[in-house]
Amino acid sequence: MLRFLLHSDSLFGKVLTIISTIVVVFFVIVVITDNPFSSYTTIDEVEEEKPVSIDQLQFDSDRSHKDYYDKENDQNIYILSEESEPIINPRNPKELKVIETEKLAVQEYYYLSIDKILDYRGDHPIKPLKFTSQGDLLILGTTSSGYDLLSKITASVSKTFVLMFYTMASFLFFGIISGVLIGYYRERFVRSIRILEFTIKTLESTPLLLWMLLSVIIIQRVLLDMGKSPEFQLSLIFVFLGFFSSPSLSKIITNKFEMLKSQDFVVALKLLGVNDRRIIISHILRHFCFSSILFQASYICAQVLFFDFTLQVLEFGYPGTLGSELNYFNIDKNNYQFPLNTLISILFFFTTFLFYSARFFESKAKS
Amino acid sequence: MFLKKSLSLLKYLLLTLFKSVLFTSLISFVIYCLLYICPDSDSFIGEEKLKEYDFSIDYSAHDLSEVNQKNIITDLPFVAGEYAQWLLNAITLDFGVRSDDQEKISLFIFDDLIVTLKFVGLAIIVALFISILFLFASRVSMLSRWIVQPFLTLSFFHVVLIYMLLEHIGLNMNFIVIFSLAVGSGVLYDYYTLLSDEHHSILEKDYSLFALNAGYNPYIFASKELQLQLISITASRIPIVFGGMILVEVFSGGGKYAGIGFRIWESLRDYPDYGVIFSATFVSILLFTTIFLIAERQRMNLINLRD
Repeated sequence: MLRFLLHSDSLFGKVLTIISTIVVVFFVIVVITDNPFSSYTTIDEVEEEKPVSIDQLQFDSDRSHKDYYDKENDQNIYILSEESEPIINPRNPKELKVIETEKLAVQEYYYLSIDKILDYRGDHPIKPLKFTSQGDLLILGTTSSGYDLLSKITASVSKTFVLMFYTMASFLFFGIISGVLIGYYRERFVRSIRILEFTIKTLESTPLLLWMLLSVIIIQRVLLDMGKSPEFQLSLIFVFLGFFSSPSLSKIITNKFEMLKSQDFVVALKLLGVNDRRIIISHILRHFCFSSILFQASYICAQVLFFDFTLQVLEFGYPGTLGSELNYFNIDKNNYQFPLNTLISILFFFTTFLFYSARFFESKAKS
Repeated sequence: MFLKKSLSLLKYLLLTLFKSVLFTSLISFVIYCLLYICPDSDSFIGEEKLKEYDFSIDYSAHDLSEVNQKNIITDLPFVAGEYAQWLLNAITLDFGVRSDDQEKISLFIFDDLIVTLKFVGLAIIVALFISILFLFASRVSMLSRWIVQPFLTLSFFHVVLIYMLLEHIGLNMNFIVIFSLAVGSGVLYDYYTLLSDEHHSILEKDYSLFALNAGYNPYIFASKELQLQLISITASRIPIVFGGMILVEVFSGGGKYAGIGFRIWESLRDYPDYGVIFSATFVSILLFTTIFLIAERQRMNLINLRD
């Protein structure tokens, strides 16, 4: 760890590495512990929540789209959601999730902070490092609409981490498998390897963003038609991101294997009767490719942040991620100046940490 | 001698173009099939197929999806036929018409491509200029530590973030666009690192050292290898800059920066125009495949030169 913190040649780099590591470690802890600085009421604990059939509702264009009229019970009901859109039950598309309490109508699906909003209604935005009446610490203060900023960011960081996991899993899977096949088994499966090489060349020759744009539109259109949830669509898009980025890892692993497979130690292992799987995993991948894999994995994590924001700019994004929060704050920057600057700084440190990690592993791989 | 060289260059270019057309045709066929399964792509592919349905049948009694059900496996011969027809038309530069105003796609698609290539080219030149500058600056350790290394930490993402913070200062937009592209997406770092590594390895070779010790300029001796390496590395960076350009085009809201990326993005929104999307994608893939094949060829030439 200390070696990583001090690996940069310049003092500027060392300071930046230390600060960005502190920021990342802090957020990892906050995400894992679900923000220990404040307690929250989750949606499952809200008693008034109940499903209402879509036939029960009267949709009136004159009304605000936040509220609907329940014909059967002769009352206004309020939809609880992020974008004031009804939350549709994935198991039954005709069923909506609604909230009867008016005060909850402006709140979000994730990490409700009901007590805080009621306590501080009218006092927002609250400055950072203030204590609430319950003794909770608002580290980053609140937004002008009354949300605890740290919780808001934590929720999106957590979602982005999940996306990073999907991307990395698919990136490592396709990259390592194809790299090993081409590098180690080229002579054994000549034709199949040629097809694989052609596929990799195909993926490589076209810009990644072009592939991703096409993937996004096809996934959105086809999966929407199949009734798949936005979360599923988003996960699949990032799995594709990992797949389309995998040729870079595949090339590195292929080169390593081609360089090493005729080395004395590999020949000796084969003569000793060690099976191919063990040679590949325990010897070559573990000792010679691990740093390169970590170097590429760091880059792909930074790529996720970049691509998430790109999707938002291209208006194909999904709510709840870091990119969507950044975009949301940026659109209404007059009301969200502090949250915007805070989020930009956090993202800056996140990407800096990932780039420095990548360079650290790159230098280790080279050495 | 000159005629022989020209003929071999022409042969090489034609062969590369032929290969890239083949390559592009295969890739775009996969994309064509994927677009076919999109539920609302009937106006582009499958309009004829839709006519086969007997609409006198009351489908409301069944599931609505029965009408629009597309099966790529069973419809593959039909899709391949449609694609072959489209490809034959595309060879004569007939990409069809835009759905909203019936304007010929070929009339605007090449203009868009020129806008994109202009900025991508300028960004590559700026990146090359900065890389060469840094290559010499890095010989002074203080400059390397305080200017070169921190500057190389910038990614496109950082540039966008800094731009969002400094927007009110009112910098020249062209400058921001070209600078963002040159520095962004990790292009400069990659570009500089690759150039720097190759530069060092070539200048440390026996023949370069011999030239240096004998009092000659080693760059003259190593010029062919340096040139081949420069072309190969530069060509491999172009697709990355293109990706950044799409984002810049959209981020800046089109206008004078509206290139082929913006066209694809604009056609994807709300009611997608699959004809424009596919044509723009086809042209982009053809261009980048050609560049990729040239870069690959240069790489092979280098390997042969070294052997």
